[in-house]
Amino acid sequence: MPLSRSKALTALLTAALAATVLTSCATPASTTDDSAPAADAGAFPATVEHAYGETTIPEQPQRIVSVGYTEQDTLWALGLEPVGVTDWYGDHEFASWPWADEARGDSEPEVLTTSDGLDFEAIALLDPDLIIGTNAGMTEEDYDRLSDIAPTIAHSGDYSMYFEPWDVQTLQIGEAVGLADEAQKLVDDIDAQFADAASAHPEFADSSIVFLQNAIYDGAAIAYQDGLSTDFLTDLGFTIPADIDAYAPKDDSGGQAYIPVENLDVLNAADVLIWGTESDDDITALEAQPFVTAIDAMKNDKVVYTDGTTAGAIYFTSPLSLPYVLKTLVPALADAVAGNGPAHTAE
Amino acid sequence: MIPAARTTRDPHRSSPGRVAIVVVLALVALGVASVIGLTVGTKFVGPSTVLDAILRFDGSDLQLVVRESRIPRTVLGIVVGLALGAAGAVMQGLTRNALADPGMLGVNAGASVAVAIAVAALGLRDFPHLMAFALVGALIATIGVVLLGAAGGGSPVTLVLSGVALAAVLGGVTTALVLLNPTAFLQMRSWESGALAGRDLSVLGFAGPAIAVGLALALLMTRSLDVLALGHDTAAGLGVKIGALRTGAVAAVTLLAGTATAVAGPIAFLGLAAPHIARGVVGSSQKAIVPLAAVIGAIVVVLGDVVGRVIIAPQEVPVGIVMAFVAAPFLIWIGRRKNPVQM
Repeated sequence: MPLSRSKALTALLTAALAATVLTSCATPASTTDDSAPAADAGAFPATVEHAYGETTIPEQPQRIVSVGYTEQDTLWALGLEPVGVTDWYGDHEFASWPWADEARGDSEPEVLTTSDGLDFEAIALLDPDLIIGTNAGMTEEDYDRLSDIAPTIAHSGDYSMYFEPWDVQTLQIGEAVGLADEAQKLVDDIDAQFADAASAHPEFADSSIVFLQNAIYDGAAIAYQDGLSTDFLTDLGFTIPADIDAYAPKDDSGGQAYIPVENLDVLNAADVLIWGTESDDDITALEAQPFVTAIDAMKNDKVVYTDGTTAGAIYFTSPLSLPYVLKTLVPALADAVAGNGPAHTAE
Repeated sequence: MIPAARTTRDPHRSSPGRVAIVVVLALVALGVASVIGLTVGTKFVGPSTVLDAILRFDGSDLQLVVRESRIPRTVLGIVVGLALGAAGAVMQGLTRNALADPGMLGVNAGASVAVAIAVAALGLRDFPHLMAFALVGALIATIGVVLLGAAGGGSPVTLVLSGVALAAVLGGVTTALVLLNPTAFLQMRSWESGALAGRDLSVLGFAGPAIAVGLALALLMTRSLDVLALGHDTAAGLGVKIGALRTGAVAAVTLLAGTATAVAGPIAFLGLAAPHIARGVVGSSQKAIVPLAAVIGAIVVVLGDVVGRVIIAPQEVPVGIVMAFVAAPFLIWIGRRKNPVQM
């Protein structure tokens, strides 16, 4: 996801720093989870490879702390109850978005923030025996400091530091917690759900599509080029037009394509557009922009506007958020592809 | 260009005839810059398409670019540039400090904090509201600076110090407000990068009159500022009402810089640079510097916006960021002069 957004949203949390310091001084929740799923036989000691080497976890961890933006979802999906999670944005209690509440159950983890980078002090106070940071943008220096606190898992190193593929993360986390089989099952299950949706809507395969962030920022639209968190579309059969690649960063920083309003006609290469809107005001603001309404897909009513939770679920791209994306987005996509838009996802 | 380091008064260089010629030439240059502004960008638009878009609009993509982007950003660039150039010239004339610029009077900081309050606390997002807040914020900050400065003795140095101090405090408040509210953060980020793209010409309904009054004020007080350059006591002896002059100058700077900031976000450096360039061309008379600095400001903003459009095409860089890149070498150049502050 959006580095710009992530920076924006993490930076704003600096103000909450004082509060964080206070809460992190409190005694960490002492209840360890009795109902945790049993680890796979012979899973421990587990050795996990990642960007900064290998980490060995001697026995089944009881106090897992997630220091990245989205890994809490994966842990909850595996039936685990992390004692510490990290809020990316949204300001939800326990950093738990609506799609994750059921899997979280009644566990109440401490919520960390990354407004000033990783909060090492708060992490240490949680007394973890495993730190998960596959989606934390963790540097080697961060990794070394975290490893002094507890065995730490970083991103795989094969993709971006931020938002590498959810299935890679899921399998890696599964290994670390001794639930490799369950993790594989999660991945297979979600893949199957996407495959089912794709075969139920063969028309998706004939359409090209672009997902755009909420609004026009600084005179530019922010689009997701193929390969950048767009699997939720390509797995449904859609194609992402390569025309927008010219607006993506030339280096491998993994940023989105910034398309100046003057060049928004490049979006005519897409049959369908999804705007990651978060409120009715956002939609009104978009439709007040002549460059936006001049795009073919807009004129053809082949457009989807998301609600805030669906937009969040798309950005999260986690084992819990993806089924939610399927539930809300697929019907809207079917309407949009048929030219019956603008379609709105519902929370 | 004649080096601006030359600070001796030279009556020939500021003679009215010469000034008129220079201003006319500058206006011609602004015309050329505007044509470049309308035609050059990530898409090239031929002059005939520009005319068609104005006279025979058919809704084609290129004509849409002209009507909805090129014309607004060029016109706004001219307006913002005129305002910042003139504001900087008045500031430097008033404080007799060649490094003075509107940011120092707390104008930008006042505008920013007001916009932050509007967005974060009141949830406003539409431009007229934001601009009204920016102007009021700029005015309150400037009045605050003047009062603080007066309490401290009222010298130009005290005035600037008060401005810097208040700007620091207001900057902290803005940061706190913005950090507490994600929407405000995104909105302010967009505004604070200093962009002309995506701005609507309707803002001129509010900004136009404010800037026109500010320009008129600025031009009216150039003679008094010239007398002030002879020194405080001499100017007072020659009948210049220092207090009234300072009030008028502060009003002009607030209107000009506050409005320009509201329209395009803080564009650094222009208020500093345009008068410097003008002084290098026409000498040290405010009568010549203020109008010339205004036109130079307009040229620089329009061309800066064009540079932002082509430098990483097909992507764009906001003009405020282009200016920041231009600012560093320029400031180093000023700093290398024997006495950077002297005018």
